[in-house]
Amino acid sequence: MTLHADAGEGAAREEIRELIRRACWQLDQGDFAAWLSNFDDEGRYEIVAYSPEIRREMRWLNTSREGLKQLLKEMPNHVTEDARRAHMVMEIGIEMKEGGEASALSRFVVFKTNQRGETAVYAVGRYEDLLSGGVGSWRFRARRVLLETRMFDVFPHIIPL
Amino acid sequence: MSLIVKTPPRVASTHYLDNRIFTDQSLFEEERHKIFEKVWNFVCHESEVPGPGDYRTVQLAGHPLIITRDRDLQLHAIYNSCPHRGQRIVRKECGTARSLQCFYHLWNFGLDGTLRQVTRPQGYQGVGFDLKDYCIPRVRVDTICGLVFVCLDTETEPLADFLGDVVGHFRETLGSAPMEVFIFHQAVFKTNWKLWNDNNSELYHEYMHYLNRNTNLKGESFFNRTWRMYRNGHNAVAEAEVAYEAGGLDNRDANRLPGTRPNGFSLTNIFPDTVVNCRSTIIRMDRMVPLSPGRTLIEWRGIGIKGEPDEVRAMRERHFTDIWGPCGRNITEDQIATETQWIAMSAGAARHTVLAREENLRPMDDGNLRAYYAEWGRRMGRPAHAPFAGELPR
Repeated sequence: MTLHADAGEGAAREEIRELIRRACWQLDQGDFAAWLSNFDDEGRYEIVAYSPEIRREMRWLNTSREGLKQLLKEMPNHVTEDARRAHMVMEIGIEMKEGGEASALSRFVVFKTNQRGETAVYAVGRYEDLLSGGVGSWRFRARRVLLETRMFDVFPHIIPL
Repeated sequence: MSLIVKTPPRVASTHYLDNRIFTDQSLFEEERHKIFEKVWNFVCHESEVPGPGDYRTVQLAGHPLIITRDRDLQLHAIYNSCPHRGQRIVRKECGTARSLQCFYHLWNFGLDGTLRQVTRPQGYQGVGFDLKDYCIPRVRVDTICGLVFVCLDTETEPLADFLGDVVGHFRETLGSAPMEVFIFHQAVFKTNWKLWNDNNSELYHEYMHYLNRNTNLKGESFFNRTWRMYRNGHNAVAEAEVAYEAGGLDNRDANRLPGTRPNGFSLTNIFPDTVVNCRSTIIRMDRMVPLSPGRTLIEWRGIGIKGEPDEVRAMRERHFTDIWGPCGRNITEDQIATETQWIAMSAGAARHTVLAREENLRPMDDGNLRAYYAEWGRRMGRPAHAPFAGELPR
């Protein structure tokens, strides 16, 4: 591997880190249109959790970018919780693959602050991301949100995590 | 002078409730004894204990229980408490075991609760100790259509009699093919258990849900059916056709569950806390574990056909989670509604609930709730509209 290639890979990793952080910030700001633009045209999004009660993994949400767009469009019509969320995300690893793809694993914690100003830990889990693109154009091809938290104060509802 | 309206609504006494039935601690304790400890309670599905040695822990009215299946495939329900020092025997939600061993002093029990051996038995010689005297207490267990029910009372009628004809509403759907739970989630909602039950049982609040305004209420047959009431407080409403596509969801025609019609939606309420909600391709079952007047553990199960192809299972998952589940459109709305309702009630801001809708038992008639609270009153020995009649007002 050449020094040039190493530098390119380093830049790609930093872009992916930036994408993961930015996606969290966009969710916290409620900028769902910007968040959605982080997915490529074939982008998929799922939220899964393991149930020890029935000894299997469950998919609580499994949809495409178009499906997400529809859900987010509906959101103003739904009765939703009046609280703010704040993501803290930590990169565990990024693996560069052939053909302009990469995978990334990160841990996240979401805090929630209600209208009275009370803050509590809301959810703990990890992002398993498959990314596509290249310099300046990394996007999520698939984001898998694996939740460790299963007992929620208020359910996530249709608001992405 | 208090501005809180304490005078009853000017309707028949059957048509309103005193909201203290949702908030009062003494009534809550009474409900545990007079209702939950007396009736048959749905606790899990048979698929949660499918094979020999499988067990599943459940809570019922403050009682920790273990549902087990022995090597002869017989189901048992026993207390999850060691007769020695009261220790919890099983600490996991489910598992498989040849026997149950208390981790504290290693007393060992059969899956039916029989005490098999104790550690260092010589210490009990000379005190008249007999293994037979220290078996884990059993409770009654029975199944119908794969649903496991337990009853803490020895005098209560058999399960089939307790349920009666309401089973007809789900017998074919749940009972004619091997079924399994493939989604399970739970939450502690800050509300009274009956408010969640009411939310499940009344269809007037369909207007609250954006999705249901665009699907359920656009189906031609939604209003063209009636509630049916059964002995012991059970009730059900037959299947209506729902305009799923109008709400941007899949049509529900292919891979329907047995006995359902395309794009259907039916509801069966089993007294006191269980709901069978069927939408053609998927069943959702709710059960409740009342923790305090204002806290309720709610369990949801998504049920489909066992052993079906992956793509069919994926379709059922989607049909369930499009509407329900922690990330679905409706459950959070119901949660917010019932929690804020309880906050207002517990502050004493509203003394009465009005159940006065009469539409010839059409879906938005409150008749099923009136029948439910008549049964509640019968079992509690006090009417739901005046639970403290004759006592000093609170």
